[in-house]
Amino acid sequence: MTAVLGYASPREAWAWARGVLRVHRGRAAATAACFLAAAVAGLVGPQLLGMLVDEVAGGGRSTTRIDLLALGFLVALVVAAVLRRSAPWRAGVLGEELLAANRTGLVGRALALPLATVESVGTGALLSRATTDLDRVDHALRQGVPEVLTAVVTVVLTVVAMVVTSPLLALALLVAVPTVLLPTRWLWRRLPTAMQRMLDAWAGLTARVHESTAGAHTLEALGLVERRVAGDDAALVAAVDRERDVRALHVRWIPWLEISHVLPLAATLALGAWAYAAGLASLGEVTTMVVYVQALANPVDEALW
Amino acid sequence: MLVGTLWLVPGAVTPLVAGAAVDAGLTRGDTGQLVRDVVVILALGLGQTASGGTLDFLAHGMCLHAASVTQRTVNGHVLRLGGSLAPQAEAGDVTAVTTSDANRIGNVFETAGRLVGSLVAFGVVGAGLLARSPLLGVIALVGVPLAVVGIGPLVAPLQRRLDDQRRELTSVNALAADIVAGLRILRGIGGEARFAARVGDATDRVRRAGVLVARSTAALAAAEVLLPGAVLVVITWLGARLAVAGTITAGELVAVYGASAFLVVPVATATETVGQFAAARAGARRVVRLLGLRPLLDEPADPLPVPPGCPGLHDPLTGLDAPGGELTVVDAGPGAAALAGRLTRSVGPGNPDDDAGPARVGDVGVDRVELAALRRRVVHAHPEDLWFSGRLRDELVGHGALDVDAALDAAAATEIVDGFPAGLDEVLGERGREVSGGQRQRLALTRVLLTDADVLVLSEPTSAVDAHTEAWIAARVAVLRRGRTTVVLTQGAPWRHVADHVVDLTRTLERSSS
Repeated sequence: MTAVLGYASPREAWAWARGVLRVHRGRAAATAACFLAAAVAGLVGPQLLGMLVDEVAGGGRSTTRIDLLALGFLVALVVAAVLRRSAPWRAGVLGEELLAANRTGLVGRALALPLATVESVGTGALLSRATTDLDRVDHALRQGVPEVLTAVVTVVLTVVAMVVTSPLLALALLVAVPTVLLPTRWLWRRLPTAMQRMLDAWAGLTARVHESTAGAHTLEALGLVERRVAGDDAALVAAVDRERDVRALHVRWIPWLEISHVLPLAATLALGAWAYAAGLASLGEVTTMVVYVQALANPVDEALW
Repeated sequence: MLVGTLWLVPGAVTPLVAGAAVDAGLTRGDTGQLVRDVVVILALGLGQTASGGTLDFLAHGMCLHAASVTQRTVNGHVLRLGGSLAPQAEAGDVTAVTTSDANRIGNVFETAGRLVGSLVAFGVVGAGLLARSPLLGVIALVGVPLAVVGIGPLVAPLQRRLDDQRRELTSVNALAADIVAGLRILRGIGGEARFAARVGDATDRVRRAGVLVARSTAALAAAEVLLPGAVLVVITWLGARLAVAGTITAGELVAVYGASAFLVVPVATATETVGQFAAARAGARRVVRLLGLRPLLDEPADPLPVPPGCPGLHDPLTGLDAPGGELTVVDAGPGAAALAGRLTRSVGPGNPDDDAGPARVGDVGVDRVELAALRRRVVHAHPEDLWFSGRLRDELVGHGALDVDAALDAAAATEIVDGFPAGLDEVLGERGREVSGGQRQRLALTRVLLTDADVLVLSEPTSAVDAHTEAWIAARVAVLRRGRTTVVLTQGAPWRHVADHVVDLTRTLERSSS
């Protein structure tokens, strides 16, 4: 007798996203441009450091060029900071508007549902759609998307900058490709289910505990206290176990990620030494590349988490 | 702690070694030294991998353990307070303590190891920097902490705005839940437009809170780039000048740059830990307050047992006498809640321990019996009793000889269960919102009948059902409870028809007051 409330197919979801973006095309583009520009501004620093090193290693005794480079460094920093502020700010304002529209739309549509549908779907399903699911979309758009987007953009642009700076030394990155890709693919196959189970377990526990507290009087009157406490404890143990499952996946994956930070660094140094000795790269280029490799660690972590 | 040290120190040394590698291999062309340095970097990386994984595993284990033990302790304690909880603490606050505060306390255990590691790493990097160039070392060791501390003031407003945002989200979710739960009724009375407007307002508040959060987040992101970056620029600039002057080598310049950039990690970790300590202390205070709550009713010094069989109830204040083993129906008017509280010594309106002397069960004062023993024999069903989510079969458990079908039948709830696709295996959600108020009341009555208590006090057990159903229930309950003591506080006529005794306290009260 209960009908099932349909979910949107992935294609419908994409169509919805495209439609939303089309309406706000100008602002979405401006936001994306800000993110890109912020990432690019962040890449200038290592380049200038490389130039400084070349200046020093070249045996130049003029401090004017060094002062100018340092000034450029400072300007790049300020520009990066301004863009770093502007990008998430724009994204936040736009995102909040979309979320608000989404929520009002959903409630409006629920209010307009034919009564027959309401009866057959059941309040529970509608309720979870109106609260839990909506909350998830909120959470994903607020927390996940901006961070992952920033991280991915940073990684891609850093790699591009490395290839532009020195295609030869950029080859050192390749040593990390298998140690990043294979374990991450392994993780991503297992993580979503484990994560979902964990979140469900914690959400269930919170709801349960809230109910217990609200009904403490009833529990005492009906002599249900000890049974309820035992039930709450069991739910807690279950949630902790689900969390440990997720953790077990991470513990097996993190070492590979850490190795992936070190391998290219060592490779860049070794390759750089050879290239410098062979006259294929300047000391400054090697320095820039080493700093880039180290700078990759953070956004890679963030993008993959 | 030890693992915490091992986690960050390799990372601290790496830039210094990389600088040495640049000098050795690149400028001096010392291939042997270079190879050694590269191997050292690899070894450091492997060390960091091992200790990072171990730290993560241990720290998270401790955090989870601490949080769950806290949650379990607090939850058990407050639930055992029973009726004494509500007057002393809001349910929402308690949930906030058992979830967020417990996690805050757990977090301290997670970051303690990192804090130690950060301090050691800071020392190692500091020493390395000072050895290469005292001037640059001092600038880095003073400048980087200053920069990180400078970010601090931006974090508090962000936290506050995040809290605001969460609150608004909760309220809009609750509103949406109410609307959906009451959709049938809402459509019936045509209140859609008004509710849609309310949701619109609430949503707009969420949006504005979110925009404020975005502004704080953006400012924080900018400060995180700008402040440590400024220190780095100064160090690089001075370093380059020193290098040109020949005071330091190019490799040392690279090492100083890398080490200064790295310094942000331990300093940020340390500040974060300090913030977490503060949050955990605030959380711990709230936990301690809850654990300090005591039952509002005193246990008797030398308790007596409840008389055997099915004793009667007597209330000296109103003069009510409900004989043992019979069904007494009482119309107590506005004093019903206080009367029920006195008869069963429950926390609620009308302090049960008040002057006219305590109610008696049989010939024993209710205050002379241990509360747990009293609750086992004398059960009170309140109209505000909460329906707990879960499988019906698990929520409707008999304590005595009574079977579920008989209790369902007496409470006119058989048809409700039959209406569920899964019958008794149906899972009802939070507070049983899926069913109507009348259905919920019938299920709650089933639940209390199943306690099969020797003495049962029912407050308005049929206030939400129609007259026909009320008559059915009254007749069946009278039969089901035959031989037991039952007191029904109600104004419903059908109960009077089936009662062994009818007491109208409204008239007595009027008489005594005139």
